[in-house]
Amino acid sequence: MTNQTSGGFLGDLEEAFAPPAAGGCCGSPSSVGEPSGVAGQSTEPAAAATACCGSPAAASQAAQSGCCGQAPAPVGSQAGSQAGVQGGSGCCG
Amino acid sequence: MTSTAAGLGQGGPDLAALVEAVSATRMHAAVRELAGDRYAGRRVGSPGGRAAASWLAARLGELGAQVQLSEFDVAGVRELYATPVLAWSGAGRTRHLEHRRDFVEHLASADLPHPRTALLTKVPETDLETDLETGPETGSETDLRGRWVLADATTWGRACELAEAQGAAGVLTVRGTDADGWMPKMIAGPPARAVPVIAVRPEVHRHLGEALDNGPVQVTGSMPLRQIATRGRNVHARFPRTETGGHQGGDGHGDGPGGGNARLRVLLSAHYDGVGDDPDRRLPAAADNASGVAAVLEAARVLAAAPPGALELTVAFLDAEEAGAWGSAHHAPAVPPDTLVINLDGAAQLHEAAAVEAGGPAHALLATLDQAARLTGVPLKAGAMASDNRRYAAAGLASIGVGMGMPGYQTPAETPDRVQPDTLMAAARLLVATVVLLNT
Repeated sequence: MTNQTSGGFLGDLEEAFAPPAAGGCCGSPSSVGEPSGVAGQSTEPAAAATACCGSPAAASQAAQSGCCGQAPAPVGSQAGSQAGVQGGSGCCG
Repeated sequence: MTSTAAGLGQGGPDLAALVEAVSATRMHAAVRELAGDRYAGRRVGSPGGRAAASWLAARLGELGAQVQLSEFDVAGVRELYATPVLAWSGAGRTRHLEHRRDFVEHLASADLPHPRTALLTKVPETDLETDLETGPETGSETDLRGRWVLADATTWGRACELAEAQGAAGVLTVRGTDADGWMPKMIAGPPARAVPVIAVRPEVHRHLGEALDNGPVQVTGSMPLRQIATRGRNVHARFPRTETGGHQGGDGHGDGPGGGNARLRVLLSAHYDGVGDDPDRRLPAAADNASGVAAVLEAARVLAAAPPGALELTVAFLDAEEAGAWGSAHHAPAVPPDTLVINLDGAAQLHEAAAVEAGGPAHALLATLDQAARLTGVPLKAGAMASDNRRYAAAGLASIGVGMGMPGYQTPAETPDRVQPDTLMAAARLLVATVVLLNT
């Protein structure tokens, strides 16, 4: 940060409401699916632990998106820059 | 962060003074404390996790906050209760593999407490495309009974179905590693299968496939992995306001009536739980999320000492995020609906920009965060944050998730020395500036 000369949002603020998805799972700093994958779910605790990110749909997406290690996260993605996980880490299949 | 001084002046002398009061030394000390042996990786329901909650409650109490602990049930937490083993033999040579380097627990695995030795086999492509009823007696090319089954990442589920139907010993599939060669640990996942499932790193998977093409391969493996039900413990703190006309009563935690009539409520949250140590190895969870907790705690310390305003500040240190965001799921429905939430998950290694995800009616909050980021010199960028912020947004609250990096994510390499002081400073200053701007 010592070389950082400017702050604030890079790009359109509205993008924060629909950020790009990246490989990862609940509890990781990256996401496997739509941001609404959890937002659209019940907040019942029972739903929280049934699947990745609290959502069976998100778990299914995760299995297709590299969450489980079968496909490296794209370079520069949140999975790479935030977690440094090359092949995904997988709370799912 | 020295380059931010000029920008801070634009926010007024109070903002500049408060932001300058943030201490990297204090935050790093908090990270080292929470990553210490005493807390054993802070898994929900563990003695270490409960000790961390008590330590945090004491720190918040020292700041003058009204502190409450709130407990809730958590189920389906994966617990590795012994170190698993995996070895394979082929062409007269045996290779003993290292847990979390060469192989790792698959969260869909059945419990296999003791090593099981069996020959390895592959599932023919044709079997992967047939119905479950198609077994060895009805046309399958390979009998999986009593065998370990080698599957790839895209067909492991189907391989499990076949393995279960035919009584296989277990399934080996493949999973990647991080940049340091570790296989990260998770404790929440899909329902368990009826067969043991072990994930090996790609190179091991390739070697197994090549060896199998050249002759018989024998595998010995165990996976002592069980699911437990336990109790989580959130730490809530409310910082009392004292100005005329302000609310001073109620529990202030949104856990019942008496939430007060403040004109503006802000909740700063961060989960303090980790995935827990392995039976034979530390997973300190310094970045995820001792770093975020340290930054929120430091922001609360600075803000608690600030001149009172119309704002009611609450802090939540949440449990069981790693188990599926149970702590925020428990807390969110009880938070007053006009509360503005900022959740910090990771404040350890800021590269290009902090990741920001907004949910609920958070437009004004996001604009203020942007303004604070300009004043403090913190770059922000839209990025998915699958964390507790989503539980608050799902409850209809204005909620923003912020992430500033997690080096060593959920591995033994997630140590305090990898948590950058500059990133801690950036995170805490951003939080302080945002709250101050909201309060003016």
